[in-house]
Amino acid sequence: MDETIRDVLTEHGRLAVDAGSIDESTDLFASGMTSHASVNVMLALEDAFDIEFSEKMLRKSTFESIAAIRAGVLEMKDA
Amino acid sequence: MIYVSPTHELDAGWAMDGTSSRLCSERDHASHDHLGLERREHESGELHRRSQSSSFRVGVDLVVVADVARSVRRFGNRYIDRIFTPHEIMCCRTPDRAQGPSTGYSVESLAARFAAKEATVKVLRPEGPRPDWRSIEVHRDRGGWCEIRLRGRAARLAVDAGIAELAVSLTHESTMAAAVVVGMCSSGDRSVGRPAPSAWREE
Repeated sequence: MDETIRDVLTEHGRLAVDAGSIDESTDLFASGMTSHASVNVMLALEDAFDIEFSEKMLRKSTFESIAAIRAGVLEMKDA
Repeated sequence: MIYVSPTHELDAGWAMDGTSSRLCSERDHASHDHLGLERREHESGELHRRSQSSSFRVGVDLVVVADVARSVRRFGNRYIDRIFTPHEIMCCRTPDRAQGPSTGYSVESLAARFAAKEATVKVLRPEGPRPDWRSIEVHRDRGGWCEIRLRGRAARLAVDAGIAELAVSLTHESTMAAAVVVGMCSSGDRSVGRPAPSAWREE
């Protein structure tokens, strides 16, 4: 799962750092991800994991790190 | 008795900071100038002016137009329908495809609306989940002027914050789009019950 998340971040995150090698707790917004890029990340994650983020998941913290994204994806897959 | 001044003051200039406050002693005295602004002189002789019953919040956002164009091409209607309301989509369509050659939309207009939604979120300051993008609508009237209309969670946030009015200004060039949103809070006291303005539709 983490590899897929990193691939999504590499393609859509517009990060100033290498998404393939950053720590899972690295702050993605502090690493260059804009609010608009986070929308693309969200849509790409939905495609990759066949999920749809609910409105209650639409918070900055859901997409602030790889670890947070993983937790969010798992929550939506279990929903 | 301690007086807590409201959220915007005039020292050397207007400080429209929605979070700042300043303590003044009861020996401060107040008068009102020709603008209806309270003049309050501190023990130190420092002078502050404030409006009597309102404060402001300001949000601004900047979007790269090419990023929006890329999103439209990559995600198509999923992106459009997830972010924009039917009214906004209608306003941004380019039937002759003179603009946005591969999208059918004016991506500059979409980008400006996205910026307005983000600027509005900065005014609403949600502490939990952010409102759905579609609950914040840039409504364009026949004259071309735009206003912000809220519904759902966005409307509730506005009511809770005492925001009585929102004003928006959009701009774009070929590469960048930006929006500024100003919210006028009718009172700093959130406990004061007020009917929601007609543009705020709680659902």
